[in-house]
Amino acid sequence: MTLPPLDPVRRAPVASAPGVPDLPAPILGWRTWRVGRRAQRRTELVAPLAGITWPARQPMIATCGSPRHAPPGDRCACGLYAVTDPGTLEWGPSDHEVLGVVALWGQVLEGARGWRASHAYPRFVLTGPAIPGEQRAALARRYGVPVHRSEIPPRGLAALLGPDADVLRHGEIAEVEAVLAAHMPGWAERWEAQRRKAEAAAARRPWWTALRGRR
Amino acid sequence: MDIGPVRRRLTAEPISSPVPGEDSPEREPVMIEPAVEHDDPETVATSRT
Repeated sequence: MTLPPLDPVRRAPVASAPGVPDLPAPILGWRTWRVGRRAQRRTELVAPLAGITWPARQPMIATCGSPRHAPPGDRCACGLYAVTDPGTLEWGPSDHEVLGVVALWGQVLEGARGWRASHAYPRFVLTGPAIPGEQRAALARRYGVPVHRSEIPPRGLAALLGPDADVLRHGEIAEVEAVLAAHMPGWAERWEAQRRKAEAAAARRPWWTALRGRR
Repeated sequence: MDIGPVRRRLTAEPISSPVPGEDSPEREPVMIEPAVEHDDPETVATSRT
């Protein structure tokens, strides 16, 4: 079943001419990838949950196990995901997870916090201190997109971006570089302050509370 | 990753490809049909009244 497109203001179906796209540009959203640790996979962007490597210099095309629909399905979780607010992203335990902005196009389902799409390609990637410079450069060469260094882990950065997240999401390459250069020292300072506060709070807790999580 | 309740389905066809070095996706030109001229005498007569 296909949901009719809705006017975001009136919530009423909007008539659109068949064959004419609703948007002549990709939708831009935030998402995460994992980069490989082993030599063979060090220049690969991998979907953290599905474990699928995103192809370089060709679109990532969503697939679904169901033969009844093409991704993104209305009543299925299939499709390539991205969100508007990077602070809502979920993170795994790996320090090789990276943050980035992705271009989505083709068939797209728009949700309250993000999108699921049939086609996608990374626009730029932000890696943490765990990813060395030569690996960043190799990723950038392979995918043909900027790969920036964050002084703090990407999950921390995602939570600190605030209103700058939208500037970065829609910015041109030069603007993204300028915003990152200007704001990174401040973000790093805030991250360090938060880290110290969390450590101090942990030190004040009675020692036996640390044992609770181990059972 | 949770995108929340779905609001609408849309199609996005970028004019220039988001993939570096790839040509723009092929798009069929949108043809506007020319207006059909009626030379039916009844139609002409009606329009004059």
